[in-house]
Amino acid sequence: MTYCTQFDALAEAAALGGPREARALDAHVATCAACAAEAVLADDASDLVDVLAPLRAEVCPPAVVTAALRDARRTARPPVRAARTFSRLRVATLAFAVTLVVGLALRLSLASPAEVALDRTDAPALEVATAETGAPLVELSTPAPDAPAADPTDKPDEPVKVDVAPPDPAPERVAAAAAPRLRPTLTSATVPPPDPAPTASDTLAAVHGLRLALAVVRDARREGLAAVAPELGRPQVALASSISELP
Amino acid sequence: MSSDALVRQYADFAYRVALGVTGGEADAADATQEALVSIWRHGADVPAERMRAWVARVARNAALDLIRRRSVRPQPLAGEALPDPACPAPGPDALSEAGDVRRELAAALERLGEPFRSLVVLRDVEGLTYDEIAETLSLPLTTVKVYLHRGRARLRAALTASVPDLVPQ
Repeated sequence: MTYCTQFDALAEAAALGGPREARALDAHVATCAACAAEAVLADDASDLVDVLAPLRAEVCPPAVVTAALRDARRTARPPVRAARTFSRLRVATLAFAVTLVVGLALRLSLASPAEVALDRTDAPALEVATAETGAPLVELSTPAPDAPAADPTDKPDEPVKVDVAPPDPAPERVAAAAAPRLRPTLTSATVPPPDPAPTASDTLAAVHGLRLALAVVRDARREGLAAVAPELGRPQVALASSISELP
Repeated sequence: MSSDALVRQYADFAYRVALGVTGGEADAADATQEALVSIWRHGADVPAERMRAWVARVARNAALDLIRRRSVRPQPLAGEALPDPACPAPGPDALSEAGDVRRELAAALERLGEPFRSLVVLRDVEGLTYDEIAETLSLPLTTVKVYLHRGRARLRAALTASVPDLVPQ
């Protein structure tokens, strides 16, 4: 049989070239009579089918199948794991954000007007207001559950005994200077007694009130010390240290 | 059908296609493993009527890629050296064992070159239709037939030269 020689050349070019060479080969085969005759011959039953029968007995080694399945599952696993990790991170971030927002909302809602007012109050302003009205601005006679209630009839505190050497310590003047400062804010009770289950707002108000009262006491003590220190001829720091050592 | 079942069903087929392309069992095993991984991943998306052509293309491409990566010619089966073409053809007694026949066939296929080798394997070993082969190799049907006709002629000539008793006259 005479083969189409042009097919050989085009087939070689197609094998080495790109799509353009392949299209040229296909165009030639579609119109070439000799190639069409070869194509008809290819439809005949091949005598090589039986000859090649031993090749059909080849089977894939089981180890190859096992390794392929293992590789396929291993390569398919990381995206799933990454997705789970990402999902967990997303849930954790969302939970953190929700907690943050809820915490801020609670904090803002618990900041009552009384608390805000107390935050803005300082000791000098309290003194001025007290001097003008004659009554304490903040009346905190509500005692702590385990603390003794303040009695309006109580006598002034014991005079501050200053362990100093002569000259005359003049304890009366120390008491006169300190007592009015120590007394007035812990008197009349206008705050109702705490509920058996006080709310958070009540608790915050009580804490701020107590803090303010302590500030007033500290301020009074400081001013009292400032008043008596020149008379005693001792620095305020030494007097404060001596007072703190009293029983 | 699950991905595992697809892999097990087409493992032998893919291995034979890869073996026909590479000519060596070790290379065929490597190429088949890569092809089976692709089958496991994407086989479920392929229609059943196109599965054989698709698997054949995947296995053939894996084998060709392996050959390209190694930049070496396909290795002979079982690591044995190919018979010297200059030597006289061995007699029938020498080919009594099936392994020897198989090696002779593999060597003859190897000498065909592409795409003749793949065409003969897909048609005369695996029994794919012309349409399936055309889809596998992305060639027009007439071109497939011409290639196949010439590939058979070359293979027949090669076997007649090396194992004349194997080919019917």
